[in-house]
Amino acid sequence: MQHEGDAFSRPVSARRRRRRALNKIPIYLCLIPALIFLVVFSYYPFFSAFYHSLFKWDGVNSTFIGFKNFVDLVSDERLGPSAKNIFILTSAGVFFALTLPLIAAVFIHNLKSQRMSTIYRFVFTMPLVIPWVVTVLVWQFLYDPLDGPINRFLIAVGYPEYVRAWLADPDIAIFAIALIGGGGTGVGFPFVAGLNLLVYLSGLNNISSEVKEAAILEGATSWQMFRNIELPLIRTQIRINLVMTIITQLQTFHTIILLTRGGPGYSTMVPGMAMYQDAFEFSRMGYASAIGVVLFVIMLVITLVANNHLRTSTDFDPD
Amino acid sequence: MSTLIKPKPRHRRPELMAVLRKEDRVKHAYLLVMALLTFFPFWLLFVVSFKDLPQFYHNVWTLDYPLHFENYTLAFKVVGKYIINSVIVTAATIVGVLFVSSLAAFAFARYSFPGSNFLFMLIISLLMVPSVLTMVPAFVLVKNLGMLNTLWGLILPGIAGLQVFAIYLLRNFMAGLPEELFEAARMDGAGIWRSYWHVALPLSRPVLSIVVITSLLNTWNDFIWPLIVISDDDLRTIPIGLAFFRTQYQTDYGPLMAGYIISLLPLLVVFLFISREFVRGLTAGAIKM
Repeated sequence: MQHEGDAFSRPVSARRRRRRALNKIPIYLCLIPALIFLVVFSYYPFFSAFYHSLFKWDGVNSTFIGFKNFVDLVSDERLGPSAKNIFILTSAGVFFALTLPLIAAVFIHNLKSQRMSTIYRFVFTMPLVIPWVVTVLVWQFLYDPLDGPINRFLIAVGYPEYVRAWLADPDIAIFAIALIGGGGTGVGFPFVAGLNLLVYLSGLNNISSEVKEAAILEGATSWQMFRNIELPLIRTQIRINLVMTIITQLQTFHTIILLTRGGPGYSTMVPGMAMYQDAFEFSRMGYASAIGVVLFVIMLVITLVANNHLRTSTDFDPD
Repeated sequence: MSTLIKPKPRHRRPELMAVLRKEDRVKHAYLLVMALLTFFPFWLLFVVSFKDLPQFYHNVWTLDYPLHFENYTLAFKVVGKYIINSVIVTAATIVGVLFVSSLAAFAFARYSFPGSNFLFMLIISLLMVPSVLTMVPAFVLVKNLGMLNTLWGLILPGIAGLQVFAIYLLRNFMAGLPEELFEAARMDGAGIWRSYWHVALPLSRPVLSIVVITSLLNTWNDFIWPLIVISDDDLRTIPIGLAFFRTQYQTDYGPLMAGYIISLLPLLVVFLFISREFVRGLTAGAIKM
């Protein structure tokens, strides 16, 4: 702020100084509600998770067991399937986030008709307000082995040999889930994920029109424009989408808890689902906390590595 | 960029325009296919919601007459109360987040006081803490506070989770407001409360709307937390209510799909009215300004 000579820089009498100290009280009062929420519902659970990861804990009684929870993690029979599935889901997510919405964003941005780009943006943003639970449940219906439109279509067009129990076949289920993703929140369906699209579009809109006009005057083709101007200048947005996707996919189990609960067998098990099971089905809250701690550390490392390439440290939400 | 610089004679520009126009056809084709893929599942949802079972087994792809509107009355009897719960929880959470975060952001943005940087960092660091880490201890906490199976158990932790980003966003915005306005208010004898209520809040309306939209979507869609906190059917919010509804109506597809449609309508209507604000809010939410 450039206003010189305001009340704060002038020499003041002792009386005024005391009055200013009293003036601080309302400022702290402003912070009290936020700090109460912060301490009770954010920091207490945060430290409790680390603390109880060293305990055998059922939510009421706790016994200190050192690092046993972490040691047990290594031999957990759900670890293998979880690692494999999280790899599949994350790769699929990264693929979806970096291809289809990027192409759509570049196309929408470069449409000649401003009106049409507004319409497309509207169309692809709309699924974001459809509760993802609805989207996932609709896909559950599409996948239904007997009544589902996918199998009915396959039979109708004469390919009954491709009919599958999409969510109950251990070889296919995780891929069927990867296709849905988070049902609109994560990546997967809708394939032009609205959030990724908006991030790309905001990057494209920031490219100065002079640069692009110059390129057009020089006779650049659309591909050259994309390759040499647009792509390099939206690198930040690409990284944001990449990190956001990885962080989301690492902790995702919303779709899985709705559709398969990790089954059949462990064929769709993921770390978040295992944590949920331990905490709320087996009352092993200490062990569940340990899973949470490990996931947190992995995400923190990814975030910090990515931050070395990003301008600010809070460009994305780890949630 | 040097690869671009290939001087071309001016008379070739109309040709370039023609090429671009042809390329727009490819763009439209891609975007239309993607839009169709996006909306086809919802088309089936819409169609089936009007069918009785014989119609459903006969044809899932298009509307059949007569339309069975009674699916909707049947579904509404179940889904209606979930919608009311969701509205209560969402409204209370949004009001709470707006109040708590704007007040704190105002203090951080407009006043310097001992510990301000430390406290702000304490809040911002939470952006790095994922919900998987805190879910289990937060559940035990809510249980010990006696808020299990109450809407408070959704509202209060919801405010705590959403205030972090809101404070960050609002503080940045409020810090950029011109000091002259606050100076003028002070000259008129306004204290902290009045400069908060009459100057800072009205001027921050654009950012407050972003906070409302991100809080609205997050609370309305939240699934895992309500799933573990709420077990009483009368207190279920839409997402968990629908999952439960699904197990009740198994293969009674008409009412089931009608229930899904009813539950996606409220937000859709809001979106249709303020889609511009939505797009802005969502973009800001994704890239954190």
